Amino acid sequence: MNFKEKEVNKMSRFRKLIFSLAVIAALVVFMVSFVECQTKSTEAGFKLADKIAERAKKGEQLVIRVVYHNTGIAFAMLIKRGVEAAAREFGVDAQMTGPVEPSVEQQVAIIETLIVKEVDGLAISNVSAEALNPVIERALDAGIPTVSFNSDASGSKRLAFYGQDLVQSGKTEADILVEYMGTKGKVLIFSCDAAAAWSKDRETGVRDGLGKYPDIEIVGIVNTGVEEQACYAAIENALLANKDITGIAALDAVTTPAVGRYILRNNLAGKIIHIGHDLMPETLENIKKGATNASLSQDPYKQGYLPVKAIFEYITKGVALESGDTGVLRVDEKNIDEYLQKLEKGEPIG
Amino acid sequence: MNDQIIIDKAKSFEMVAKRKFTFRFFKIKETGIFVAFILLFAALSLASPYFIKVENLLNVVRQISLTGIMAVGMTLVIVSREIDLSVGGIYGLCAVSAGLLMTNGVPVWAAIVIALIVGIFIGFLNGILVTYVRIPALIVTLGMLNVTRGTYLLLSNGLSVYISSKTVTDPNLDKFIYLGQGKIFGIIPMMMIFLVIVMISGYALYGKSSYGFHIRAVGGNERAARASGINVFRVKILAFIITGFLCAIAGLLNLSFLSSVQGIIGSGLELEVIAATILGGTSLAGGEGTIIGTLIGALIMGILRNGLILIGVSPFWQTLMIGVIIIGAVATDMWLKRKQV
Repeated sequence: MNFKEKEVNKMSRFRKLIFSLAVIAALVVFMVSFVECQTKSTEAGFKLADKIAERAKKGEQLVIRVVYHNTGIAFAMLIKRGVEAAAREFGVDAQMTGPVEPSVEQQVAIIETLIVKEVDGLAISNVSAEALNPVIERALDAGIPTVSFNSDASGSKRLAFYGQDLVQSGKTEADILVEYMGTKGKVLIFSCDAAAAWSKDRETGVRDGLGKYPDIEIVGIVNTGVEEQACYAAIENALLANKDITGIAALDAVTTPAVGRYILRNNLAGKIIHIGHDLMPETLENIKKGATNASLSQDPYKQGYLPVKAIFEYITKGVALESGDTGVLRVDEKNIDEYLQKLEKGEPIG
Repeated sequence: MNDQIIIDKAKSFEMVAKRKFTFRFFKIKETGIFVAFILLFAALSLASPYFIKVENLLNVVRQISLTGIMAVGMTLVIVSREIDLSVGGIYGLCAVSAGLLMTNGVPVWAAIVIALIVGIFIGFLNGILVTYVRIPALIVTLGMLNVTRGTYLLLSNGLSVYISSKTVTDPNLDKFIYLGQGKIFGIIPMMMIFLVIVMISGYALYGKSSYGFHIRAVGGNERAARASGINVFRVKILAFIITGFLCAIAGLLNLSFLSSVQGIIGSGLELEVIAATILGGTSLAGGEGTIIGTLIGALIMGILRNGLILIGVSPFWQTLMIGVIIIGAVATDMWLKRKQV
């Protein structure tokens, strides 16, 4: 074949490629143009997959997966302990899984894979409002009992929720802040992920709670991210820029110890009132030292335990799935010694 | 006797033909990474019976679609001896822009066109800054990553943008949602179709057109390419524009698939896209790379993540194993490439 013929062949192959591309694109346009509203809704009554019911009947070990949205933080390990305890108690194969950093796409991919794997139950914590609703619906359509925990998937068809009333916890935080700070002052709110559904709920609660006091000004909310250095730097910068702050509401297990650390290192204990969330070991130390005035626990251990228990009992005994509130536990200078002792004994407090 | 000679000759021809086939097989650039892919695929098939299920494999392809689409653009950029770290930011900005426009009464198709223009424009800006202004691509695109990310956080106020019949009045919303969530014949995900279209287009552009030749020439030896009359700046700018355009497509598909977009959108995505491209055999030194290799690279990452979840590996072990297997896959590729030389 001479050069000219080779060139002609090359152009011909190129044209064939372009033609096949055009055919595929035309097919897409054709299909899309006939799309009608196809919102598939789960029927009013959820139906357990026959395979799962049969496995339960035969006494086979059930496989339950607990998908947490941020497995790379210390808080997640407490949930994991709850999951593992339930796995041992009920003899199920229950594991916590999920992305090591918050990522909607990764969490959706994980849940899709677990649906294909035909797990017997799913518990999902929602990284962001509505984003997981379609995949939760797919799980339910596949006959897999699906509940949410820690951070609810609002608007989804999940069968139950196990966690704290996040708005209420924000309001309680606001009330405690006023208890220590009084009805006047300037408040900063810190969150490791201000756009997340759980954070927005708590922030709503804090703002509602403080909104009753006209002389309390909420300066703003600072999004610190989860990376420790960046988080601490964000706190430093915010507090250097707002030297007249009298109160801090930290919304999570990442910012609460970090804010306490800043207050301690800069001798601000007693000058700034700090109320936080969750009982990380550093937070408990900070409460003991007076850098943090109080922190509210949502009982992450129970948040890992309850969904596994509920799904197991639903499948094996037909016990209806009902939501469970893991409550708002306050730890402050009055009961800190009790919780430090529990921590020392290795009890799963968080 | 004569028969024996004929048989012997036939056998020797067959051996030569086989050797030629083997020789040709190992000459193909993607052989190394393809072998790594096959080995991994086989191992995961043996490790989990669910891996080989059609539903699962289609899920995997759907899950890597967006990375794969953006990786086609990244291949062009890296082959031209540049880099684009802003892909995650462009992806997020286009998704947020489209979502906000739709929820504020702009017709769906207009919002799509505007989002695509945004992607193209940012790609164009990247290209101009790298070529005419001569700022290193690493700096330009890193800066652009922050600019785009900051922009979409400002536009959305850090809040999720949710599209539904309650927030978007345009009746064409259903068609837009179908682009990301639809399945042809109830099985084949629409996102996979988009991936196929982009891959074929990329293959045609890169492998069968003069632009592809120019981009490899520029990446291989910029001076020689310039001396031979190739407009180097135009080639590079076009690579960045194509990347921006593909990121916009990926962002729109993400919005369509999730029906919402969040503040954390696209975070860390640039590393995924670059990893898929490099894994596919594209050389960071420029001048070398293939679209098929990039597709295989994206698939390797996809099946790895999927397989480890099916096996039940903990998230921490997953992170470690993904790194180890990526190194292993590239090592296999480089070993086989040395055999070709």
